[in-house]
Amino acid sequence: MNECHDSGRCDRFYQALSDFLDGTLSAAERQAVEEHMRRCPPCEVYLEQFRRVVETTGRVCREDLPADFDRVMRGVMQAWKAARPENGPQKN
Amino acid sequence: MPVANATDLDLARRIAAGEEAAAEELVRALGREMHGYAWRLLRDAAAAEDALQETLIAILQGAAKFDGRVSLRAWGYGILRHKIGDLLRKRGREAAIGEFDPERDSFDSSGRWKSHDFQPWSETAETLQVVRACMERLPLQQREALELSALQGLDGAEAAAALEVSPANLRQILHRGRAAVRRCAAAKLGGEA
Repeated sequence: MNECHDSGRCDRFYQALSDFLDGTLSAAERQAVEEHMRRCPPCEVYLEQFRRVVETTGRVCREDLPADFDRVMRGVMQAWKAARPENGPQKN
Repeated sequence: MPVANATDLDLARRIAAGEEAAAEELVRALGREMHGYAWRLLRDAAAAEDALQETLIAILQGAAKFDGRVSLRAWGYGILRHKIGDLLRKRGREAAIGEFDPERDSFDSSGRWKSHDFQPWSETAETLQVVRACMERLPLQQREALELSALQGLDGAEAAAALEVSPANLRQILHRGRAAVRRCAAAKLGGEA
């Protein structure tokens, strides 16, 4: 088992991880996270696992969709047009 | 809090005036991406289609009420997530992980891990499947936060507006959700307790 050789707090490292990965930390905060990680192998592995979770969400977003989007769109437009007041403004 | 730009307000005004080209523009701009979002949360093609269709019609029909306090995109996602929430509540889905900070008891009084036998994950399809399966077990709000935050072009403030939480609260929800998925996946992949 790897030991953490940093006197810094792993709990603070953990709390900063999402902001670290999303790039919302200040330069000083980012440096503190990176320094802790260099001297704390358990936190380094933890970060890599956390990063995989974040990246997987993005990959799920690029999945092919199972339905016919054009058909959905036609249905939306037809429903919208049908619901409009007949004497309302009409433009094209 | 994000605000709508002039384009959003103009588009909403044109739709409210009955301009079909404007309605099509909005549906094309938001529809495909929203469809993906609905499908990922519902995992049911027919239900995702219904939620998307109802949302887009609600956006078009409600365009006259759009006041520009948030972007059109964030406003639209706000409507969509309510429709998805209704469908999921009807299903009676129970969340299994993520109700609490999964690491709340993981540190000793000096802030160190009590136990830290973290094993690196391999780059395999199995890892991806396990992580995805763990995401499915999150409470709805955390899944929404993860999905909204992964959308390109929707910044943190807009995602928070769509979720009806503060940006700081969104950060907390997001972090807890990610940590819960990590812990769930680690238990399945590496035998971590």
